Amino acid sequence: MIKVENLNKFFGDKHVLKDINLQINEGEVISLIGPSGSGKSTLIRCMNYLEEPTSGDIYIKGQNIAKSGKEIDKIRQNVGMVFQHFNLFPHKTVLENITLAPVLTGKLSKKEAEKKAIELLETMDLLEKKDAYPPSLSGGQKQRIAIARALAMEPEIMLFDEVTSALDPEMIGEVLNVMKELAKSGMTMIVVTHEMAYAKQVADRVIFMADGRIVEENKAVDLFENPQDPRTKEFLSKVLDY
Amino acid sequence: MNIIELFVQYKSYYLLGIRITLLLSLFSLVIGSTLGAILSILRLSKSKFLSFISTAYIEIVRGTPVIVQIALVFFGSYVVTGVQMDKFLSALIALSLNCAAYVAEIIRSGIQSIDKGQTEASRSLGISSGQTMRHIILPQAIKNILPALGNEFVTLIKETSIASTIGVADLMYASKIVQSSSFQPFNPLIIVAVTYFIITFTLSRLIGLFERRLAQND
Repeated sequence: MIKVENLNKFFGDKHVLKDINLQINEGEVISLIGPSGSGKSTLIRCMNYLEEPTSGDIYIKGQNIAKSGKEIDKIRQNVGMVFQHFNLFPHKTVLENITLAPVLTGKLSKKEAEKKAIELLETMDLLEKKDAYPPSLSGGQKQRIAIARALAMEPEIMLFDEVTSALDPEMIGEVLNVMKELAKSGMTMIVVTHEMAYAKQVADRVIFMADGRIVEENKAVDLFENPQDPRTKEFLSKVLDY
Repeated sequence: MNIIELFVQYKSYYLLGIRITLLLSLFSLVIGSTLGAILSILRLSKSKFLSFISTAYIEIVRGTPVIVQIALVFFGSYVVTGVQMDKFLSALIALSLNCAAYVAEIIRSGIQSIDKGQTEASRSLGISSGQTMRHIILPQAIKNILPALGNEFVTLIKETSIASTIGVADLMYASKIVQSSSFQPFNPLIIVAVTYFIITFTLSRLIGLFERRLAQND
C-alpha cells in the first residue's frame, strides 16, 4: 500500500530523516513512536507530500508521489490526514467543513456529500453540532470532526499526526475510540502518537524512531514487552514508568 | 468675506476640483488594487524570479516619494517618447503604480497571516492550490486585509492632492487658484481641508460598515 525507499529529508543543514525504508500493507495499523525531534511527524508528512523529500521515493499504491505532478491532488484524495491542531476551517460550519472537499474535488454532489457528512457525524455522535462553527467546539469534538472531514473523502489510508497531543486529558478517550473503531473497520492507518497504551492495543506494528532513523520495528506486543535496541529500551522505560 | 461666501463665489472651481479628485482617486484605486492583487500573487509565487521582481518593485515604489513618482511619469514620458503625456493621465499612472505596491503588501500580509495548517489541511484533502486559495485562505484573509485596505484608500485620496504639482486641476489646485485670486491665504485651505475630510470620512465609514457586515458572518 505504501512503500518508502531510501528516504532522506533535510531542513537546511539539518538531516531529519536518514535513509528510511518502510513498507506498509493494506489494512495495517502502524504506530510511529519515538522522542520528539526524531522525525516521526516529518515522515508521515512526506507520505502525502506536505513535505517534499530531499531524496528517495515514496510509493502510494505503486504510484511514485514525487513524480506525480498534478496527480498529487488525486493521490491525496485517497490519503486522509488528521493534524495535532485540528486545522478545521473556522469560517465554515461543521457540515461545510466535511462536505467541502468531496464537493470541490467533484467526488460527490452537494446532496450526496451532505448525506455522507450526516452519516459520519452520527457515528461520531456529533450530529447536533452540524451547524456550529469550529471555534465553539471542544478540542475532542474538533478532532472528531477533523477525522470525519478526512473520512468524507473515503480514503484508503489515514495518517494521524499526534492527534491527541493538543487535547485535554479527558478528551483523549473519545478521539482514541473513534480511531479504534476505524482500525477495526480495516483502514490502513499510520499513527504518530505518544499514547503508548493505544499503540500497544491497536497497532499491528510499532515503529520506534530516534534521531531521524527507524531504530526498531516489531509487532506491538513484542516491541513493548521485549525491546531489542538500547535506545528503544531507554525510551520505553521513560514513557512507561510513571 | 467669510468662508461660506468664499466657497459660493468660487464654487465652480471647487466643484470641478472635487470631480477631478474623485475621478483620480477612484480610477487609481481600482487600477492600483487590481495591479496590487497581481503583484501580491507574484510575490507569493514559488518562482524566485517572479517573487524577486515583485519584491523589488514594491521596495522601490515604497522607498520613493509620490511627488517624485508623479514628476517622473509626467516629465519622463516626454523625455522617453517625445510626446507630452496628459497631466491627468500621468497622475493616474503614477498614483496607480504607487497604490499597487501598498495594496500588494496588504494582501500578501493578509494571506500570510492565515495559519499554514489551513493550507495543509485543505491540500491534504486533495483540494487544489487554487481552490484552497479561493475557498479557504482568501475568505479568512479578507478580514485582515479589509481594514488595512481602507487605510490605504484614505491615504490614496489624500495623496491625489500631489497631482496639483504637475497642474492637474484637482481640489488642491482649485484651492491654490482661489488663494491667489481672492488674496486670501488661509480660508481656501480650510475649505479644501474640510472637503478632503468629508470624502475620506465617508469612505472610512463605508468600509467600517462593510467590516461589520463581514464580522456578522462569523
